Amino acid sequence: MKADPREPDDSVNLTPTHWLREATTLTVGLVVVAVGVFTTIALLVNLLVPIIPLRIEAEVTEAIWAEVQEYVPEGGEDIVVRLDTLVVQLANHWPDREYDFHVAVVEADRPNAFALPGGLIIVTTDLIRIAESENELAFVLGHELGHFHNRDHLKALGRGILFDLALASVGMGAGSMPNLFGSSGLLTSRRFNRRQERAADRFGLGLMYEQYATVAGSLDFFEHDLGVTGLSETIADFAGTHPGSTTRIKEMLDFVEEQGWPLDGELLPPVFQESAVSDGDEGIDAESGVKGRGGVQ
Amino acid sequence: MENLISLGFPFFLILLAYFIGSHLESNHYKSIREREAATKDMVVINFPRFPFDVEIERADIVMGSVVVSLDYFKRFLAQLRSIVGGRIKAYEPLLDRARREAVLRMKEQALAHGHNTVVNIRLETSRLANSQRGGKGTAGVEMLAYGTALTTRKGL
Repeated sequence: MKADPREPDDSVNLTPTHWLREATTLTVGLVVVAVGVFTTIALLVNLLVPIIPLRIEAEVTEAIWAEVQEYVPEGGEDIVVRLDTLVVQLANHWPDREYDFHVAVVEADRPNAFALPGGLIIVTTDLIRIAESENELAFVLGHELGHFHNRDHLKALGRGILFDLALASVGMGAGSMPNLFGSSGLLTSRRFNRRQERAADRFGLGLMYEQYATVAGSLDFFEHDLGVTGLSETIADFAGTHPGSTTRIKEMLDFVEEQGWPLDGELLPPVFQESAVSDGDEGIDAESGVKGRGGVQ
Repeated sequence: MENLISLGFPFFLILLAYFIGSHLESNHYKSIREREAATKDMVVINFPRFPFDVEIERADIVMGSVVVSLDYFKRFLAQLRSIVGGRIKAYEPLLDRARREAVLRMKEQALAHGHNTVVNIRLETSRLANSQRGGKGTAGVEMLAYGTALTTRKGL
């Protein structure tokens, strides 16, 4: 017997593979699956949300209320009362509503409003600051009421939770790198979000028309953004989950025209700001037009 | 826009890692093949005992060790593969290079000590934990080749 040394044969332990092709095949395949899973989850949630009782929503709000309170500025109770009144006036045109609506004002340096489960509408101080008429703010509040009408907040919450669970179950939860499937899910969710935003816009316009017999002022919020900050991050954020502003304005105008609602008419003064000013004893912020007692600024 | 950036940036890194990783791998294989050709006459066997009648002049323990890690691209590819299952081919060249490099280092040590044979060769692998992830992640893998280097007076 004699040893016969040879060079290792490197074809045995290596599978000939084109790495980029393998990466592309796996990525495309899994993204398709992720989009399919997300779409199925979203459709399932849309079917399930209408049967969730309102008391469960109220419990969710109770759980997060303490967190929201941290951002509620001192003072400004009058403004909240005025906004509550405005919401109730609008909601009166939605006869079969089951919610008991409330408004909370939170300190934030960007104009925004959102609906939380259970009937709570959060409005930021900056939104109140830039609003030049009651009609303008009424549209925003009406839009949020539209979300409650369609229970969009629960749908978004349900989609988020179920999709995170789906990701975590395949080891692609938060922090996994890169979160390709999370991003695929987010991109897919935009389609659902935009559809919801369109429906909420239409609902809000309907309430405005019922309340004021005109939808004048409904587009002012978008014009503020474009005029004051240009293509600012506010718009960029807005464009993320909502339809782009230009598209959105066009769709709203088309809808208003279709319904035959007037776009002109008298705009009511922003009384929610005036009421705060009249009670204040520390002067008025000349620029914002609201009192400077640590309240709405 | 934020989503596009958050999705696009990792892809850019993955593509960059692919080109850098491929270049490094290609260079390493070139070096391995050249050194294997240069040391191919050395007898390396894993018999625990000699089946031959040889006269041993000197004996020594020799070892070659190498620590390897995945690049960003192959880590991504392995993550994708682990979802659907199947052979994780991305690991194959990495471990192949590690085995061959460890054996080469062991042979080079034996040659440096003037030996012409290595017997009873063994390969061991151990995982190096990643301290940044509480010891759960893998920072790399150590491949160790060791054996008994011999200087034989009579060839095998």
